[in-house]
Amino acid sequence: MNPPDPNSDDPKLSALLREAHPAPVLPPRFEEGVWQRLQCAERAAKTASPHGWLEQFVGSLLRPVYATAALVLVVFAGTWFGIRDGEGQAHRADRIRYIAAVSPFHRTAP
Amino acid sequence: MKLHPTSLVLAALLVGSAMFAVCYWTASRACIAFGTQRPDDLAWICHEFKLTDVEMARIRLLHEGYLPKCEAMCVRIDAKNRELAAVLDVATNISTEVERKLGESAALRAECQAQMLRHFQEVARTMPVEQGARYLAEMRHLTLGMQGSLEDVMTHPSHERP
Repeated sequence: MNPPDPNSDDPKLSALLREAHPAPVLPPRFEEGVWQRLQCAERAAKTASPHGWLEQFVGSLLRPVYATAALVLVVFAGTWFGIRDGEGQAHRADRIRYIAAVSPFHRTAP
Repeated sequence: MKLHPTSLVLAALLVGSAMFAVCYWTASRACIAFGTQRPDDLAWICHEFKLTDVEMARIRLLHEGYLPKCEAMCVRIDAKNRELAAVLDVATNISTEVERKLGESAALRAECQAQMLRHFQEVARTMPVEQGARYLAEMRHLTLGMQGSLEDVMTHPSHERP
């Protein structure tokens, strides 16, 4: 049996079809609910995949705000630790200089 | 082209580590270079014991008064070391001459240590009590530790030490 032609312009047939399939009354905010369910399903699919969480994490990490903050933190930490180390080395060098100045034993090797 | 998340994380870690290393190295070198721009024998004392300008001025006077004595002692120790080496070079056994030179060397060492300790005590007296005690303890260790380090090596050979 052939399916009915949807482009039929028979008014009687159209009226019959409307009566046979009345349009249901949609609940309030139906469309919004559908989209929310779709988004939830997408998120669940991403999380379920082996790299889903990683993709999300990298995605958030590579946002300009976080990337800039991380870069500033790395630069600050590197400089701070470098200064500490440099000060320590300079301090040790100063100590050796003082000892060499006041101790004849550290100037003359037997 | 879409990169794998793991590659992105590794690339970010690599870039971060490189940035850290560059900043660390640059800051460290700059600090050392800045520190060596002030060739002052007393920079360590000033910084370590947090001394005031007045205390530093007194210590500088003592230090400058001590330096000629220290130089003279250096010359004597150097000469005595050369004498001892010359005697030891030709000696096939420990002769009375070697023993005498060793005794002279030990006496000179003791004289030098006494002179050093006298100077350190004078310097310590110009500092606040607590700082002076700490300075003196460190300098005493330096002065007497020269013999102690040898004895330590003899008592605890290197393979036994932690």
